[in-house]
Amino acid sequence: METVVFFANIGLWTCVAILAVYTLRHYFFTLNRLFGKHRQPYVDVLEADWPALVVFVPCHNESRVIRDSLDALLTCDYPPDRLVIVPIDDRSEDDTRDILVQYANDYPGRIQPFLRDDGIPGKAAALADAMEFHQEEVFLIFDADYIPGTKLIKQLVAPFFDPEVGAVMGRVVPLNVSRSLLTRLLDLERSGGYQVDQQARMNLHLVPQYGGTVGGMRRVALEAVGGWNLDSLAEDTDLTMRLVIAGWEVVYQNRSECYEEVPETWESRMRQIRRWATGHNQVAARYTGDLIRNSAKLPFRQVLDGVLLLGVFVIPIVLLIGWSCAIILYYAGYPPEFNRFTILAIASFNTVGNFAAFFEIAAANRLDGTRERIRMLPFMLLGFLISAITVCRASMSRKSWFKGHTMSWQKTARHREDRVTKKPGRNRRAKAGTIA
Amino acid sequence: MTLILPPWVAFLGVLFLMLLWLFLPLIPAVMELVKPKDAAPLNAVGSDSGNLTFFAESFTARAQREGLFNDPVPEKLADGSPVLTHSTAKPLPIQRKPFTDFVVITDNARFAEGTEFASECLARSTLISVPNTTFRTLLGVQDVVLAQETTMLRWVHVKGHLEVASNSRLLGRATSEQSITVGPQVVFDRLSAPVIRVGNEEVEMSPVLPIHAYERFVPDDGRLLAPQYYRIDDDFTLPASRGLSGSVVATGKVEIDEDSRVTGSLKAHDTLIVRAGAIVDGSVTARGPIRIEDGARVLGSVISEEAIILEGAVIGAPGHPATVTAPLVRVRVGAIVHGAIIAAKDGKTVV
Repeated sequence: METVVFFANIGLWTCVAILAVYTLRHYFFTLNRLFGKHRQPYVDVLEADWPALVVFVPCHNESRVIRDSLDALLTCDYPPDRLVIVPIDDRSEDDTRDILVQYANDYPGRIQPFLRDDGIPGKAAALADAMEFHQEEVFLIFDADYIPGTKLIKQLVAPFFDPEVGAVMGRVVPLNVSRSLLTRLLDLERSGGYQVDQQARMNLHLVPQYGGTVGGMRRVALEAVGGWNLDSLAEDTDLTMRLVIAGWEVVYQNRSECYEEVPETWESRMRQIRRWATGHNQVAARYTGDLIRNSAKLPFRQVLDGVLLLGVFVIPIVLLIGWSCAIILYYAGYPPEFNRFTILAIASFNTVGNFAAFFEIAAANRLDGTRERIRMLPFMLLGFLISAITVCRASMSRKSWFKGHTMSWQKTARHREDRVTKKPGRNRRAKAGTIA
Repeated sequence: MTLILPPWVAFLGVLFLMLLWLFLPLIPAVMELVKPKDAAPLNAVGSDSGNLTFFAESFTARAQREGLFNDPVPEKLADGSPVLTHSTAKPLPIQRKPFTDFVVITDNARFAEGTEFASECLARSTLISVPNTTFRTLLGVQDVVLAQETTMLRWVHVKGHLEVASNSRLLGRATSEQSITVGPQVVFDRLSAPVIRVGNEEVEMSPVLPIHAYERFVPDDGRLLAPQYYRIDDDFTLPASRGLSGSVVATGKVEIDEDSRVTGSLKAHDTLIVRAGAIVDGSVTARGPIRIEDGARVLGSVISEEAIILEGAVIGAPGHPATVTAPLVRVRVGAIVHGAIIAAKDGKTVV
């Protein structure tokens, strides 16, 4: 019994320590955003000799949304002679392919679809195949439901004038906010994640995460770190980590905002989280060691942030272990050691720690200047609980930690019914913004 | 008399209060959910960001709609507000208070020194202002010469050449479709034109020689991030008159010595100096201050997170625009920038 109590004690205190670190991290990031220096060195690069660019749009059954995305890309203000749009159709079963062919005919040279019927399924493999045919300096990627603004492409390319930048990430803004309780919660969550988390990492020279869409990479950097990892479910985090470990910088551009369609049903949201958690944990298993070995001589703060970033989807498991240890200790009649300190710690955590994420979201909404939507904050508890359960399930699966699973298209259901952009004129650059 | 409640009533009372306490924060949440007040997508796509001539374009469109380019100039706008006309034949009255109405300047007639325009101005012919004038906004259809100590409060856009004399203040945006010449001691925020010159002095530039004309230099203490991308975990100095093929990222200071050449871009985590006569074909970025000395050339953009001191150097080239951007920018007489100069906090030309 003493051995059980000993290990339960160690387990409990380890879990408490880990949770405390993440709590501090939340507060540190939030306070940095509220009171720290806002770092956006590339946002004013307005005139430049813009490099040759390819925008890839991976598609799998995207007929509901792909037209909006392509129309928005066609109206961007990037020099048309230096921009190629490559929608990648990977085995769509709806009429996505017909739409792409139609656009290629309407905009010859500007839209060059890549049609794929075999090979490994999935976004990473599709991108790897399509990129083989391009030697341009910069690659940007947008998911098919994203609607970039007119200025967005230049904003995302500007950081690549810095030779240290390997990848860039813009900000994702939900378009279908008003559709349901879930979409409203996701809107709050996205605000916290981008306006606070990502920008704080940018401010503090830590590890902003390339998120696989509304972003891109320098071609030579991608090649130098070995290209796309085809068996990764989170090819974006996988690439972020390999770039950082190699010594490249990943940059977040808070002003480079792009609309997306967030999941409208809890089922598709849970599927999305499961995929993220599984993929993220795969990356953690692969690269945590490399990051700690730090062959690129990264500053300690960057390594620490990288490790904490890799560990975010393990937190629900840590919480579960902590609860289990506490229950074991309680029924064994051995309360945790340092009793008064424990009570103080639990009280502190209940009053401060549990609210770290809420504080972060509230701060993000304040920074965004949105006053009323903050009233939805108490409902975030529901979102967190569902996320925690889903992440826990995903994190305990074998797929999360071991190689050897079959790749398939894991995509979020689209719900859009009406067009949100106007169709641009053929072979010309529209000037006005296109969001209806 | 003491009221004694049965235990089950007390229990229910406490339970009710507890649930009320628990659900109190949910009341505004439920109200927002049932009757949304703030459920629109964030206004993510700003149409004026990244476009320095946005206001000028809107203004031009409005002036065309209102017929302000026609003769005679209409006396009122569509919304009923009056339009003032200034010409040799019909000059504006001399007054101490600012002109608050829309002003159309139809010829090169001068106005009184110290005039203040608190509304939009349209200059339909070449405008040569007098010292100590204050404009809110100014659209120049031809050339515009702003005399000493002019203050521009929001923006000036000129289709021809824009000349700004010393000790002026260009708050906001100053843009030209041809060229801008700025005198010394001019405060500015954002300048943009195919050519921006500070002063009229010509600085002697070193010739641009092919890279093989320089003695080849390879950083021996760096490692390759990718082919021709060197990362150096220390300071980096490219010795004088040497040529480096590729880009360099250094975690310390970077110094490109006199008359040397780099074919790629540079990044310093600390300060970065491009010495006199040196040439950088790519961009120059630093977390610390950047100094580009006399006679140096940088073909790409110059980006600092702290400050840029641009001496008599050339940034960009005709047909290859570039941006000079930092919180603090000082541009010396003799400097030429093809593109834009953006000072987020404090920009000034100096002697």
